[in-house]
Amino acid sequence: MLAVGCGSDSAGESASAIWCDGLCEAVVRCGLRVPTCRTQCEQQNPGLAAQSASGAAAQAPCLEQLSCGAIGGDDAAWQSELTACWKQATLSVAVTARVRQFCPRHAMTVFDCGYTLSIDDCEHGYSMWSDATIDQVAACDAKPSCDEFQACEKQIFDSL
Amino acid sequence: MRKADLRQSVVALALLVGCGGGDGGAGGGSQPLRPVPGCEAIDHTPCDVRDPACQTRLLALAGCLRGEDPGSPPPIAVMSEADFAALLTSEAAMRTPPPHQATWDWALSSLKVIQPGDLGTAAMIAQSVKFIWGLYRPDTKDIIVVDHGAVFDAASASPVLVHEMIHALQDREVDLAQFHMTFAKSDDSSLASRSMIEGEARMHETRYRASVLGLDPSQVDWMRRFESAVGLDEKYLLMQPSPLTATSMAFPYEWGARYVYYQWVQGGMGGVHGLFVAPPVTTRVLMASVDMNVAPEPEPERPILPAPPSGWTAADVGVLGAWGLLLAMTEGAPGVSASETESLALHWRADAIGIYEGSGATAFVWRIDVGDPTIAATAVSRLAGLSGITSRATGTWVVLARASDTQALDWAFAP
Repeated sequence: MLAVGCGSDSAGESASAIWCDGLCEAVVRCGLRVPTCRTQCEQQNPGLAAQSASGAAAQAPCLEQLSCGAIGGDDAAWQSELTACWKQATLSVAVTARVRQFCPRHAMTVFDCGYTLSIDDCEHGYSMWSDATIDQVAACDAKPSCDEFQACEKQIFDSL
Repeated sequence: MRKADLRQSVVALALLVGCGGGDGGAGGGSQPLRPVPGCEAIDHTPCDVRDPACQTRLLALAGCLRGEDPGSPPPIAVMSEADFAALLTSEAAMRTPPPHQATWDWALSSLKVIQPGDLGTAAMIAQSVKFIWGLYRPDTKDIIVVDHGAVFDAASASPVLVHEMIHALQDREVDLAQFHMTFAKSDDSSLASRSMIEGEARMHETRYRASVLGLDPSQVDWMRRFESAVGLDEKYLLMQPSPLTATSMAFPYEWGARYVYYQWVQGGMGGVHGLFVAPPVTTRVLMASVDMNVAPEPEPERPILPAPPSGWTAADVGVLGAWGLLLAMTEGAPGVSASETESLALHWRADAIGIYEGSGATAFVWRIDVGDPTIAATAVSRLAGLSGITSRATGTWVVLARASDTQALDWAFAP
């Protein structure tokens, strides 16, 4: 069965549409009948809007291959397979200009606060997120203390 | 329909980008490396630490970071966690077990600074295998780099090898075994003086690591970096079930790096070399060196412990220092803020903890001078939460005691 238009032609589509198309492809493959799959997926996952379209596109081929156990209710499989899709996508996602501009300052702030984050890992990790999300994190970089920086970043991602 | 937990994705990001701290996950990627200022002539690119050419290059970098001729590399072996565990186990089998280990284990676990059994060989080896990334052995003058599997690559291993190369250079300069014999006269002075060895190595490793990460070293706020690393490790240690045994994997590195860095900024490598001649010998000095270094102080005279009554033997004596006091007060009053507990611990002037063995029973007495009767009373209140332990303030002294049976311990509080 062919995909319902996800992944291969994602120009102009939102991150949530791309991500949900990938998921719904797996839903169909597993023989589940969910006629409003994409709509339900987007409604139940408003946080997908925080991802970048390129990040969602990089995950889509992996989401299409999620196991039927993960799709059908196995929470452990669902979590581990989503994590694997995310990790795999970070390796191939296209690095955006916004992220290239963001990472030197952000990686420096992370380093100054006692952690390690390479520019390269920063670029691939944050290319998964939308420019609006990047802008929020960039605002955290300007916080005067490391505690405030960490709390700010945590608040952004906890709210997704 | 499943709802995606995006926080899971964030966790994945954190793991991947190495935001959890620690030594792994540093990736050079395609970014141009910005060399450590002053060492631009040496290629900073991470490399395969098994390759002799890589070893020679990273030794040259270590020499440059220290401002000296590096000489030739020491023998270097890369080994798996399993092989490293086997090595530690065989070495431990050759050594005589420390005397009174079971009594120390009981005393320190009574103070809640370790979990029962954590002074045992198996527990110590398990901790070492998990946390040690590299090792310089002064007795055999060689380096072991531990391959931790998935996270082991050129970008993670190269700074580790530079760290160990710094130790090799230190050993050639000061004889680390002799340094240890001269300054490590108690647990507290051992921790403090070892902080110079590990602190210098961590400082240079971190200078190199910034380049490996693709950062511009000239833009790093180094004071903030070293101060933050102390803060992170303090939080980490205070959350550990055995904070005292975990201490050796963190305190000498981060508290040491902060101290050595301040010295390096003020006096360059000459100042750092001076720390190997007259190092701090109390953890209090390292803990108090927050915005600037507190000068090393002489090791205080060890307080006299009470003589036990008939039937008891004074088995051994130790010094837990301001750091040990901080850990015990944190366990005794977990609701009090870390900064408040730390400022109280910095009143430490001297201490001695004695362990006693009787017929089928053990006891300990810990006497701590905090220099002020009010502080002593406050410290006792912070230690009151340690169940089964009697604590009293007597003048400027805090005295804690416990017996493994229900014998009266009046003798422990005799002046």
